[in-house]
Amino acid sequence: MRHPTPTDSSDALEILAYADGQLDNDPAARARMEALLAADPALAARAHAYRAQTDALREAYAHRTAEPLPSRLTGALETRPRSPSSTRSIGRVAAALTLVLAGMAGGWVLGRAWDAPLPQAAWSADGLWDQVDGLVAATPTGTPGNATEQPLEWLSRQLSLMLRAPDLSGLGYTLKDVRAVRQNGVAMVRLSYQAADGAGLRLFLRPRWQQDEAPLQVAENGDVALAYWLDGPLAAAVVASRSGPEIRSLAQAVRRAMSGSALLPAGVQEPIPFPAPGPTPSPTPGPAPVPADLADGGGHHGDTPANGLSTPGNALNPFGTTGSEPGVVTPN
Amino acid sequence: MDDVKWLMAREIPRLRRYALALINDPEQADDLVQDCLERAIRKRHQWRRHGSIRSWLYRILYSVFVNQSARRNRDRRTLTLEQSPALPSAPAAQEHRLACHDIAEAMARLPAEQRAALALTAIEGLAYDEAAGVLGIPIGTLRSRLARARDTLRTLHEPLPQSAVLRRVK
Repeated sequence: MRHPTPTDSSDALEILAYADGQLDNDPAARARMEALLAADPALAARAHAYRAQTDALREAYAHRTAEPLPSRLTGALETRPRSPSSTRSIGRVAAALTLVLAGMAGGWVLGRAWDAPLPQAAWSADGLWDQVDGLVAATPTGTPGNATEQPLEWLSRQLSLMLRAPDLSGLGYTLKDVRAVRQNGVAMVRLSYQAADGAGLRLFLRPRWQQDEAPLQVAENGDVALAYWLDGPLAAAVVASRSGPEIRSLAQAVRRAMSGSALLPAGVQEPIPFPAPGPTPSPTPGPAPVPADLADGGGHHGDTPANGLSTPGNALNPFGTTGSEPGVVTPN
Repeated sequence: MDDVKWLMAREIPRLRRYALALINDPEQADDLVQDCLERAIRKRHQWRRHGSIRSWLYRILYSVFVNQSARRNRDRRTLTLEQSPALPSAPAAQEHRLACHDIAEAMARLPAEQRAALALTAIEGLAYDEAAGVLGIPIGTLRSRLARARDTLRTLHEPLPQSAVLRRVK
C-alpha cells in the first residue's frame, strides 16, 4: 500500500529508534544502523523523514511551554485535601512533629535496604513526608532475635564486631535512649542523644552484609536534616534539627567517633558496655525509664508534648494514619 | 511538602504541552492539567520516588485523560480508548483524503493511544522505556504504536507547498 516498508518490521522499528535517539547509548547498535542507512538511501530518507517529523511536532507545541501559567493551575497545587490544624499556636508542636517524621525517615532510609543504591534523586529532602505512610505500617518489635538481648549486643552479633554507643560528648550530645526498632521488616537500633540545650539527635544503625562503603548523603526537610552512609557491615543514619551543611559535619563527626571507639573487631576489646556510660537512666527491665520527651520524638523542643504526637489519630497527623511512630519497644 | 509542590510546579509547562498534544484544545487541555495536579496533590504520598516526578505526573495526567475520554465515549455509546484498535482507523479513514497542513490537527486525528505515545517520545523527549512506563504498556507495544503513529501522521500531514504559504498570509 502506501508504506514502502511494513510498519512493524524490526528494521522499521530500529530506524525509528535510531531517529528518536534511543540508540545513542548503544554505540554498537547505532553503528550498525548507520552502516545500514549508508548502504540504503531509501532507509536513510526514512530516518530523515522521522527526524523532520519530530522537529515539526516540537515546533508545533513549543509555544505552550513559553506561555505564562494560568493562575488556576498554580492554584491547584494549593489544594489541601486534609489540612492539619493551621493554628499558629501549635507551631512548636508542628516543628516537633517534623522531627518525629524525620526520625522515622532516618529509620526508613535504613529499612529500605539501600545497599542497592537508589537513584540520587530519590533522596532529596521532601521525601521525608512521603515516606511516612510506609513507616506507620512498621511492626513493633522487641530486640530482634532474642528478647533478652540488648539492642547493641544483638547488632554486635550481627556484625561480628564489638559495638557500643558512640560517645558524642565531644559534640555536646549525651546518650538518652537505645531501642530496637523495625521498619519495613528490617530490624535496626535507634540511639537517641540530647544536647544540653535540649536539641535532639538520633542515630540509626543496622547490619548489612556487604563490605563496601558509601559516602555520606544528606537530605533536608525544613529545619530537619538527615545524613546516612555505609561503613562495611554497618549502615547508619543521623537525624537532627540542623541545616544540611551542619548535619554533614555532625554526621562526619559521628562517623569518626564510631570508627574510633564504637566499632572494634570482635575479641579485641572488652565486652560491650551497655548502656553507654553517661548521666543516663539505664534501660533496665520494665517500662522504659527514659525521659518522656525522648520516648517518641526525640523531642528537643522544650515542653512540647511529643508524647501526644504519637497518639494514633492525633489531629496533627497530616496523613490521618493510625500511628505516627514506627514500632518501638524498649529493650528488656 | 512545599518541596513536592515546588517540584510539581516546575513541571506545569511540560504538562500543559503534553495535555495540548492529547487534547487539541487549549482550554480543555488546561482543565486536564488542573485535574492532574489536584489528583497529584491528593496522592502525593504515593509518589515512591523511584522515578522522576515528571514521569509520575505524566502518568497521572494520562490516566485522568483516559478516564475522562472513557466517560465521554460512554456517553456517545462508543468503545473506550483502550478497547478498540479498530476504532481510531474509522475516522482516520474517512478524513484520510483531507491532508492537514497543521501537524497539530493531524495529531488530533490519531488514535489517542498513539497520540500519547508520540507526544511523550517526540515532543516530551522521554526514552522509550520511560514512556512505556508512563503509559503502562510493554516497550514493544510502545514501539509499534509509535511506528503506526508516525506512518499515519505522515499520510495525514502534508506541509504546505511554498507558494501556498505565501498565498495564505493573513
